[in-house]
Amino acid sequence: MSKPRFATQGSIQTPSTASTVQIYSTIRKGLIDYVSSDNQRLAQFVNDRIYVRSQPEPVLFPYITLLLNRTSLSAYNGYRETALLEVQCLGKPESQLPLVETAMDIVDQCLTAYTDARSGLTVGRSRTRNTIPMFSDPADASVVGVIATYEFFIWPRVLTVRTN
Amino acid sequence: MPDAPLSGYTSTLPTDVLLDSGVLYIGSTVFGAFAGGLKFDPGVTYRNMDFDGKRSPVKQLDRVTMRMPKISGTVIQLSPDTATLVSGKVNVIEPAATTNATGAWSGSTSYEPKAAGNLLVANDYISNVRAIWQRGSSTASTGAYVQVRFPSALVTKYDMTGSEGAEVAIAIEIEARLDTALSGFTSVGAAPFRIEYLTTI
Repeated sequence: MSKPRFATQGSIQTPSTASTVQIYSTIRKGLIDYVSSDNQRLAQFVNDRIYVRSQPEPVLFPYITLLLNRTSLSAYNGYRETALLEVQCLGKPESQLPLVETAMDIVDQCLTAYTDARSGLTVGRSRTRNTIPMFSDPADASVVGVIATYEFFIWPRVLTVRTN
Repeated sequence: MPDAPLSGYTSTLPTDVLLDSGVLYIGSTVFGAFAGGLKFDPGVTYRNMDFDGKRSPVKQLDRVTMRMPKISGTVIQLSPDTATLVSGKVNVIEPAATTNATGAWSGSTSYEPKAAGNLLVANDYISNVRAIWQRGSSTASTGAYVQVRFPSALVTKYDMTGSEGAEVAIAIEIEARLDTALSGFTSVGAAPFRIEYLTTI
């Protein structure tokens, strides 16, 4: 049985930074729509299996999860955020590792050159990336994955709307 | 209800903000990779006319007495290619340097800096040095890019600094030179640079 999701399909508008849910959705759509330099799309690897925080059950591998951590500082009166977007791509069995790594190459291309001024401003330029080591018992050793953290700065409507 | 803080934020910031380190072009060609971004300084000096009894700078008594516009940055590549303007070309960084086999280290391609005491000639200057920054919106009707352009310029200063385990840093300073032969720049008082909004590079 599927876990309940906090945003249902079609319930939100993109592009938008008017809420946290819409920020997630905008980035998710940006990933789905992105065409890499060698004409590949994430859909070829994960279909539309890009989730927020955790995957539904039962899950098909490989899939991607997104998790945002955002900080706003007094230097910009709280209107500008720096955000860390953790992207996990997990596969199973171990033979999916090339799929996972290649999918994350596309994510890298998309999110390290990400500029979106259609709602507020979201800019991403840098990241760290790690391939997770093999799990040992009691975890599932056949799960492979890549975890990358992308750094953004955001002027989100959810905060800047207070100035209007 | 608490008040929101006073802020200079406006809804045009996402479009008008300038992003990233900037790219140096010479004409339509990228000059090379820089580290640490480009800097532009218009180098303007104002003089507010003095008179006996003056107590503060007075409106409408200012005039620009000098402009020394400068683009500076640290390029990390140096190319011996003199055929076309590419990749941190040697004879851009060392203005008017020419290859000279006489006196060269055996087997080398040797660049000889221009002899001191000689005036530089028109072709020794570089044309259309452009520091280009991206704006927040690539679809803005007023342009996706902002460039500072020196129609005529010269690398007046550079140094090369090596460091272990890293790229050699070549810090360069490019100064604008007024070319009164160019349309729009014929007056001696004309500023030797322009700030321009572009829809395409």
